Amino acid sequence: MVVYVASFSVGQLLVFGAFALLVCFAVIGGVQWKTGVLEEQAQPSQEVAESRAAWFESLELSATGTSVSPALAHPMNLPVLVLKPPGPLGQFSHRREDLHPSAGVVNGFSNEALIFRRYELESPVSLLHGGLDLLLVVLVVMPLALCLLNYNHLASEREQGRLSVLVIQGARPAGILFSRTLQCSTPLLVILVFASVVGTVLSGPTDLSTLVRFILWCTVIFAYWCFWVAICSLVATKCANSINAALASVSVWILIVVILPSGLQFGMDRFTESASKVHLLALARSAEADALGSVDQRAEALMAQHSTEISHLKIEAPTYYRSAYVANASINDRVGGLLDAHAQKVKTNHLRLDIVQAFSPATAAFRALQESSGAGYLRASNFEHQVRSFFRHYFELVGVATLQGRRLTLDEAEEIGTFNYRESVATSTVLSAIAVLLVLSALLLFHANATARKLEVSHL
Amino acid sequence: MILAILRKELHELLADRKFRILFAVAFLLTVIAAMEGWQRLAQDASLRSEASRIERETWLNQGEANPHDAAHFGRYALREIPALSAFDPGILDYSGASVWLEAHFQNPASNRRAENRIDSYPLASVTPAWLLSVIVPLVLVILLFGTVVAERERGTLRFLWVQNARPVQLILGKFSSALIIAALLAALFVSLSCMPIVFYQDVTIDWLSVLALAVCYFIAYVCICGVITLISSVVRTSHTAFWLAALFWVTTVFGPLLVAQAAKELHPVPRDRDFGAAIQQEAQAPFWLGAAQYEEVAIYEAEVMTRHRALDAKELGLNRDALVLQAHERFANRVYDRLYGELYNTHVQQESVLRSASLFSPIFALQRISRGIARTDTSAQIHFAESAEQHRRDIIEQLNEDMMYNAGEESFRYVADRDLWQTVDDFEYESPPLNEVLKRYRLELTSLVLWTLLSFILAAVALQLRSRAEVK
Repeated sequence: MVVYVASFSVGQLLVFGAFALLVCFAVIGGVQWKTGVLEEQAQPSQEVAESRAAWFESLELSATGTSVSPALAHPMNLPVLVLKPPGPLGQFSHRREDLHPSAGVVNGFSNEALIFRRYELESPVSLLHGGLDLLLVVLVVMPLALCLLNYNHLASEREQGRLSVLVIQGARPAGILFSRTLQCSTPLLVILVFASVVGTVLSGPTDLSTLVRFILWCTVIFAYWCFWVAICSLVATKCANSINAALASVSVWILIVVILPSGLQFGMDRFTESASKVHLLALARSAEADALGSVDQRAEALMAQHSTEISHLKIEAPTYYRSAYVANASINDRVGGLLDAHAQKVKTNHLRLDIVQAFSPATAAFRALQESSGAGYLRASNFEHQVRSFFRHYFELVGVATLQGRRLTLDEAEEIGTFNYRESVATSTVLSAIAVLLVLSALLLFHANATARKLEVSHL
Repeated sequence: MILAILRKELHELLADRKFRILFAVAFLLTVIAAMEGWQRLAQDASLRSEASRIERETWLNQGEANPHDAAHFGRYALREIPALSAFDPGILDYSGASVWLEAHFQNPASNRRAENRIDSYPLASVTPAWLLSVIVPLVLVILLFGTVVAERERGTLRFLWVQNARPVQLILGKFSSALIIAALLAALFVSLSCMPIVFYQDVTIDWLSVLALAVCYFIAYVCICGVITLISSVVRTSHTAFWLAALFWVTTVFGPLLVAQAAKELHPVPRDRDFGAAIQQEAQAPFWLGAAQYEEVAIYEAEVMTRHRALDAKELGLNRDALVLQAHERFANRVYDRLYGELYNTHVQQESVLRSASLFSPIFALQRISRGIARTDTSAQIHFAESAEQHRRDIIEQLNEDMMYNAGEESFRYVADRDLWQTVDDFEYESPPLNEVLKRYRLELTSLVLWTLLSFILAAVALQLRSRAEVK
């Protein structure tokens, strides 16, 4: 071990140290974030659980024939908490997770456009920059560190004329290159895998599905690492002097890590359509106005926007509930289709990205890492889709009772149930990314080996 | 001597194949980004304009209603899309595009564009500002890292010293060429980026802001050239110079990510649940369920009496329910001023952490100034949210007063119609003027100028010391 460490120069050790420090920051930050979210989600769970218990208690009393106020156990007031828990390995890719809603309460006063209405208090500039997470370190910092460590393996020998001597003595340039590259690159991979293990263990108990995700996560890291090792090897064989090798390394890093993915994002933004929230808002607003025109008790219907106050004041007004239901049903009719179409578009765009990501290895790695950890836009979209499906089921059952001016039966209330987010992994995205990265790595290594052979011949 | 060095530098640069390729790539990318910016501006502005139209029609066609019901029905204030957001969208995608204006409650801006965007990658997307603040500095790094050290490696530096050239003259010559390159790049790329906006009829461009942008980019480029020249003057080999210059670029581009995280942790925003609870407990419950109502109503009633020089509310025929409603608005507004004041203060504190980072990173300082001038920064967002809130207060007061003066005994049964709705103004937003923006970013501007001067002086000193050693 000591001999192995001693074989590195001070500069290389500094790079390893700085890299380990960044990884450490990222993992600690991620674990703290996940713990914080879980704690935060536990509190409203408790409140809603108490409120549900009180609601069911009143319903059971009413079922036994006891006189209960009409405001109690009213179908519209049955609260259901909808939570998007942090991804199983969300601690590794939490950078912009605050952007999407992760909690909401469904009741009869919700409509599809406003299920996730909340106070958006986060500072936009912190959302813009995001935080440092392990995903970003893997994606951006690891390639840079690999370039820094490996660009000069052959160029310095060629520059100083030592390569010819080595070749004459029987050494093969490919052998020198690959052994040095592996020696310098392996510590980075070890640091990342070790940090992933620590981050997973610190975040609490793991089940089988988390373990599978962990294996996928590590496999993607390995594939991306292989890709960069191959790139660095190729660059090292192509450049005759150190300065050109350094220039080429940085250019390749910029091209692959910055320009290609940004270009792909640009293309996606340009050629794919996504629903505008402002447009949705205008439609919901217009639907609301139409709905208000068609209900008989406008003042009461308007109070639907203040469900907390209403339940607090225990208003006993059947028309109020009916009007609120009708208003929201009308809004749902108008915006539900739009939201479905949007969810469909997201899926289609995701599939398109699965294909075009082959042109940008960093994008492929990013999407695969995000998918395997459980984070990002697709997961947020899945959550909203699942909540909307649940809400429709809820709204239908509640609606029948509300329009008939009666309470739910205990069976109906049980049928509504609770919401549980169903995790899923887009395995095709992860596996195709791994395949793309490994195939590219193999091609690049093959090319590097061929170039090194040519070098050997020319130096003989 | 300075002129000779300047001429030689420019000649070498223009003859350099690297320069031509990099310039062509940057030019092409800027054209694409400018078109995309224009497209985005046109799309956003058209969506906003359509939403505003629907919003206004919905408001006007709501039919007969009690003014307080109308206040609950509310209106939306939609954010104007700044013309220069086509150049630099800044935080626009990550900040709320609308504010719901309703009775009793102040709401923060919501509906962020980024929530509907398919993120295929975590780093910035291609915008003219991003290209000009991230890629052009990199081009400068690649072109200039060897500006002094390469001369030393080739041995030309020793000839210069022998010919009695002074290090300051050499640095001045190098700097002059940097000034010319920076001026050309800033003028060309900024005007190229803003060109498509000119053809978009629906927005007005503040040309002074465009000029300010060009000047800031020019200063920043000079500064970056200065730093690279300094690095090139200090080190012994091109190899080291390149890595140091690249490290400078990487640190200044990616460093702010770490600072943003630190800012978030140093000044955390309240959780939305806690914030909502605070509003209920401090702005609603004490008035409607506690004792605050009596005092507040008495004060407001006295004010109205004084305004009308009357002795009794009955004498004026004022509706008491409306009086109470408006008294609550006044009560709640004070709480909102405090709660939202604290929230915005947290955002501003996070900003100040980032601002301090701009002292260490000229690229980051440039990005901040650019957002400010484009009116796509946090301050512009807070300004929009505060303007919307002022508009909400005006609307609710207008509606409550209508009910107060006209409802009489009918109280909540009183209804108003389109005539009243038409008198309610639409939300009009005016961005802060340029001088205010520049004043806000004086630290960043100072940072750029200081970096430039320091790099120039240090480069001259370093070269002076080295020249002595080399001549000996």
